[in-house]
Amino acid sequence: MMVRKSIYLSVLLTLNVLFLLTPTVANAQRRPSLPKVKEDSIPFFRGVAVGVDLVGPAMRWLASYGQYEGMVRVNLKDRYYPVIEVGVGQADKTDETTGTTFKTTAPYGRVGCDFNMLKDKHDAYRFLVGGRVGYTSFKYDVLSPGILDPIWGTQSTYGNLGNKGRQLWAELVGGVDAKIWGPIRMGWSVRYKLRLARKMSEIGEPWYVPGYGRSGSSQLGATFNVLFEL
Amino acid sequence: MNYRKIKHVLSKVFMCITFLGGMVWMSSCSDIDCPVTNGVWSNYVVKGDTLHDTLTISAIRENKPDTILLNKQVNTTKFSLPMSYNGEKDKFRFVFTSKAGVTTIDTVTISKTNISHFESVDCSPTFFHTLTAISAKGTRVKKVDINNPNVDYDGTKEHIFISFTNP
Repeated sequence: MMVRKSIYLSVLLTLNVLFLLTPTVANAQRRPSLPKVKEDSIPFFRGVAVGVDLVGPAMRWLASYGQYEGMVRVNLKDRYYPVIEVGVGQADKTDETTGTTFKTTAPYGRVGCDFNMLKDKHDAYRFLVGGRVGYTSFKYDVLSPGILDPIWGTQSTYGNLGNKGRQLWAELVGGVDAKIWGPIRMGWSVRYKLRLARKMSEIGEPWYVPGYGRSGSSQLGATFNVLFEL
Repeated sequence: MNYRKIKHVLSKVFMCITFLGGMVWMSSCSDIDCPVTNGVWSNYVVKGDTLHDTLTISAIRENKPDTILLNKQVNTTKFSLPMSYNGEKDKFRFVFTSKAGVTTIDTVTISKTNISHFESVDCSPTFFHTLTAISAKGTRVKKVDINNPNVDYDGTKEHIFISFTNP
């Protein structure tokens, strides 16, 4: 009796296992093979874009300092964007209270690379994150109509012309970029600038550093670029 | 109008708003970083015995009467004096008054170079100085030496060591 029971149990278990496995096997047979990862077939070199920044000239127009800047950007596989930015920084500021004037006009340059962070890198929109290294060598003037020494009572000349300075800085860049019409693209970027090295004149720190902005160990800046893709 | 066109128009509007907003933000930024204590003073440290007499120091000015810089200081161990902005030599009259009312006068002359110092266009113009020589005429200043020649915003520097005779 016990032997018969164990035979029944064995048969039931076997049938049960077969019943459970059968649909899985069938599904496995129907499942299509895993899609092969498509290799990126686009060419390595995807074009060049030239552009200008609109924030710098607008600042120069509205405020007492700003810059005129152009850029050349290379598109590599829609993912990597090596970029060169060159411009001329300008400042002409006179304070009404102190009468002190600061003046400079000098070129600057930046090199760096942006990365398109979007999953669909071929999209008309781009979310770019990157970095730059900037450098400028410039001369600046500090002028004053002269000040009265309050104790000795003499009129003293203050200031100096042609003070020399140079600065190296790094920038962390984040921004967006969109296709507007045909080959024209527009985009803005926000930049955190960090001074790496500098050499200033004996008179003191310049009020404005071309390409970097108002003096200080770090700065926030922004650009609004209009680009033309060649 | 399909979804893609709406997205395109919105992106253009967003770009323009960002640009205008950014301009307002950038042009409105202004700050003043002038030093809180922007006095440039030469600091004197009395070496040896403390001065027992009352000390009054005046600046000797050309074609002008003297002006008092330090008035009737007692038990002097240290003091600070302003420097002329552009003068090559500053002359000071040291007047010592004893408890008995006896007055003696010495003259201290400092030679220096002057450098315009620029902080920002918003800050008052200042001058830094480099002391080149110091001398004294009279009977009460025993010794006077330059310890640190660079006179600037740093008020902790001990520029001049001076010692007096106590009669």
